[in-house]
Amino acid sequence: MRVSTFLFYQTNTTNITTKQFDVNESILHLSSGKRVINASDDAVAANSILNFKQSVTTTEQYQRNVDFANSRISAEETSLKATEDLLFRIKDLALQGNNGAYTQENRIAIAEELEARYDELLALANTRDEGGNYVFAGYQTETQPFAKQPDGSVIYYGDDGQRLTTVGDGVKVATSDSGQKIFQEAPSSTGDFRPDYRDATGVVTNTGGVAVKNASIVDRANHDTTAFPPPYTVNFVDSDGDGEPEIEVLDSTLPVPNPVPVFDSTGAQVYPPPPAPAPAPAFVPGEKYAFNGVEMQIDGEPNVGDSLTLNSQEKVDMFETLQEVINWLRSPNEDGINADDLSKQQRQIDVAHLIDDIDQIAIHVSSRRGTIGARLNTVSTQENVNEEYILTLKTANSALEDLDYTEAITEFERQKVALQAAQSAFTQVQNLSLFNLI
Amino acid sequence: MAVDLYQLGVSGLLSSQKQLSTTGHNIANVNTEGYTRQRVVQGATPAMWEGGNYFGTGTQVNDVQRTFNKFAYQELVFNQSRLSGAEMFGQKMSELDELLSKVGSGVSSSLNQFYSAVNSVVDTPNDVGVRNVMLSNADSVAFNFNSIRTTLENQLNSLNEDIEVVADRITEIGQQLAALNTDIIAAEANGINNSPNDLLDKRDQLVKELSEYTTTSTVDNGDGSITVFIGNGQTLVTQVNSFQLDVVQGNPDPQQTELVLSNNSGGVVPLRGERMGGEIGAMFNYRDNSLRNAINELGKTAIAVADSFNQQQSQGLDLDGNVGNDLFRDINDIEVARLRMKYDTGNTGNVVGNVTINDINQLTGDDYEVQYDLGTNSYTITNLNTGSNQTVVRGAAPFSFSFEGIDFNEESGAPGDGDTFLLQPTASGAADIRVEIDQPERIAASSIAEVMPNEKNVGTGSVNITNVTGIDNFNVGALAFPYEVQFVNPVAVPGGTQYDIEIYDSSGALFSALPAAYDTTAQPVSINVPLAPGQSFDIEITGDPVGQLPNAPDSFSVEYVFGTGNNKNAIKMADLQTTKVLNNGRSTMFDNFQSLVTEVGAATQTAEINYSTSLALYTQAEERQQSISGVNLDEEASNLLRFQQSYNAAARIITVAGELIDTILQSAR
Repeated sequence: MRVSTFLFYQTNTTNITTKQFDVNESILHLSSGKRVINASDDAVAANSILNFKQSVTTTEQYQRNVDFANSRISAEETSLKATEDLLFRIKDLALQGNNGAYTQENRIAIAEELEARYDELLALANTRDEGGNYVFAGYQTETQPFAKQPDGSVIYYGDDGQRLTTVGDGVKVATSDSGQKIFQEAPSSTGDFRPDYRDATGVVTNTGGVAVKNASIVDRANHDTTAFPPPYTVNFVDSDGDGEPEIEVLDSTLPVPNPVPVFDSTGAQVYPPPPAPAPAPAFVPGEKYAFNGVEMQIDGEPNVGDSLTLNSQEKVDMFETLQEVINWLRSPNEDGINADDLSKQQRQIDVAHLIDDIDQIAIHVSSRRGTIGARLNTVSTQENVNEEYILTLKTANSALEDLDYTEAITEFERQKVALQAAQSAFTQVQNLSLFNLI
Repeated sequence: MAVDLYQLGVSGLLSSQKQLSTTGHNIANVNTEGYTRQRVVQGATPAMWEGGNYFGTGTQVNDVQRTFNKFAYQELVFNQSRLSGAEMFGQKMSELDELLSKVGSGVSSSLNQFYSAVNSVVDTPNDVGVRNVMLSNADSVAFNFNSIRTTLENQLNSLNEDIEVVADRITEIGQQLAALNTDIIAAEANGINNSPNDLLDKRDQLVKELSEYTTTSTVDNGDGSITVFIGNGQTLVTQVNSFQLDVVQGNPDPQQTELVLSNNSGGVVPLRGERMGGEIGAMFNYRDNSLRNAINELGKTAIAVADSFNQQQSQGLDLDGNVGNDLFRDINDIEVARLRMKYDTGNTGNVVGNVTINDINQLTGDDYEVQYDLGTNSYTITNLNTGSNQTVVRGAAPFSFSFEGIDFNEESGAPGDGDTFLLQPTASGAADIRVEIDQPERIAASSIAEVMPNEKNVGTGSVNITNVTGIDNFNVGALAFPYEVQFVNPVAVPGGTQYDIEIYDSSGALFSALPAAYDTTAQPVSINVPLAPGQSFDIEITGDPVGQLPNAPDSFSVEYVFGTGNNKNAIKMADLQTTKVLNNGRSTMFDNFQSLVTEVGAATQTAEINYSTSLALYTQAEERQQSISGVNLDEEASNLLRFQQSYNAAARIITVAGELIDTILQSAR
């Protein structure tokens, strides 16, 4: 076969340039450390690489969000920890105030300290973050959420909004809370109702030291507030004339309240009293009585004519309770004017309710803190998950995208040798012309 | 008379001279492209009858021939078209590949930065500084889309210029070939059997060049001239006439220029560009498929970004309590929508219309052709990518038809029979995207309404807000938020329970009673709750809100929740990063862009493989052709020696003849 001289040169040039191109490509890959530079280097791998990279970017975003969430939640946690400590101190003070040996001056001193604590509590509830935003205001972060009114009560100007942050694929954690839920909605120590032992004019008339232990709606399906609207009045009456008090419950329908059927724990109807000859059973302290889906337990030894009202109130307000304790401490007691036995007895019942409430509030704040702690846990767990995921993705990506240097250098050496061989063969052969010899 | 030894010697001398000069010609043209090795065909001169014997009279040159093999040459020409086409396509694809892999990464990274800023707004929704960062990052997203779109557009334009240059060159070659045909016919007529070798070489060389640009084939006409066909068999040159290859504006899309072949008498034949083969075919193929697809898919991604954020803006309230405005330019802005429709210049009707996008999830990224048929009063819509078509009767004007995520809308006028429109829903998407909001306060980070389930609920029911219309901080006062949604009067139905829904306003009054509105077997159920003209919200219900009936039904409170610290709408924007909003819920906006990059990468890989295959085939063909027609210097060197020797020998004959005469003369002395 003939070889055309033109083609001989052309082929050799092409050969050498092709090998040069290969060497150049190798250098490009070696210097970048990447096996896939353009998508065309390995289209299948390129797709995975892009996906991996996007997942890494997204997950890294989640990690930044984890930092955001951590700082937000920690700020809340810190405030609530302080609130918790404060509540323990408040309870101590309230218990001290109830010490019979204390004088009115002592109590006023305690009341003054409690007032200082009250302001402290309010300041905690109005905690702001580094951006000046209120932490416990729901969505209304620019509005001071808790404002003390002239009458000592506190109004919440925030809302129920709860901010979220995404810390993982589909994992959202709350980074804020409604202050109202924390500070003003602790469960009441007496259940779903609040007892009022005074008559319509605020005068204590009870003589038997009657105190509601608990009154809760246990059967919501049968708690009919249309037929029997609250508040409910519980009267201790002697309907069968035996001198012993029986229990009577009336709703708030006016002008004539409806009698509400009451059952004892055996399910027997005790009110309205069964027709004679069966006498109405006498009231038993501590016995569970049920009416209209509500179950109540009342302690004390009520006398006939004693009465109390159950107002619907499921939640207690921390500030209100504290204000009541302060009012209680400041109000005249057995040392002062208007000190009769009845009000002394009632004061003990009142303060017992308040102290129970403070307990409930402390438990409530603790549980809220617990919830927030759980969120911190979720966040840190997610942080680890994210970290692992990023590592996994990067490893997988590296396998696809990064250069295997051993392989690449071997390949590079091979290409270099090939180029050198091509070059030297060409220079040697191109000298071999017949013209050199004639 | 006996053979004249002088004559004989001279004939050898002359022939050797011819041989030497042809060898010299070969050596001189060793590097001439398209040169075909020539050789002298030498023959003995007719013998002389004398004394019962034939005596040779010497030699003569019969012909100077090209060592030319027609089949080897045609194979070369054929492979040349394939190679040039593959090379051009590969080159363009790798440009696009590199562009998308490198420049294109700007799109992904700017989008990621934008999302990062959105997440900062999620953290501190009322921080104006952070909102500003989000806006400037949105700007950078739009900028990146615009700039890559501009680059692609420039590529399209320069490609169109290249096509014109190549078309001009083809016309020029045609003219030169016609001229050469004329010369060769004349030359062949002059000579008895001698061929005009160098003219033939020149013509073959031109045909080979032509084959770089387009598929070329030739037919011998018998008189030395050839007829040249290009592309799919269109005649470029007949004997001494050539046609002109022109580039005309595309129709309906002027940027999609087209090729036409026109003869001197004014006849015009349109050609299918991508069927032309060679470089020009590759350019058309690249322009009308790969580049078009890249532009469309890029546009689709941009449209997805713009629309998703605009939709989410409309579901939130800005820092001042207004319903969010479009963050990016409305994807159905009337100016944009009108430009998506192109009109065939031959249309006889006067329809003016536009194309709007109604569902990005169904958007294909394909172009469509719409043709009107007067007889059936119907439009036929053809997807130019898949080729699938559907026919729809044209209803009352202004007619509008919805398909594959877009609406084709007539605005005015009526179509004429055969009127054709080109719909390009996504082509300009990446160019159209721009940020519309300039005040950071306008970012709608706050949600409008939220559902708070009653703490006492016992069922598995769940109610979600899916849409809020027309409610903002300034008109909410007239409404009675929160609205309480209660599930009452359960009735057992096969496989589930049916509830009446009662909605109470903030005063506790029954606002709306919806009998049998929720059936657990049909979940999720969406309900629109109109509050006032133009103001409503939509809820979606799932699960079984069994409740504690009759007195404590499960209930959900729908509250108006505007607040500067409300980040719920911002978080939904942040979620768009991983939401599969495209391709029937299969792709995120990132996925769509990435699959474009990968698709182009794979096509580039294929193009590179095609190129090396074509190159191998071409090299083989070239080797074969060159082994026949190429000049080998060593061979010529040996020929040089050979013919020099024969020249010397022939000269020696003359010397001998001289000496013979001398001998005779001396003997006679």
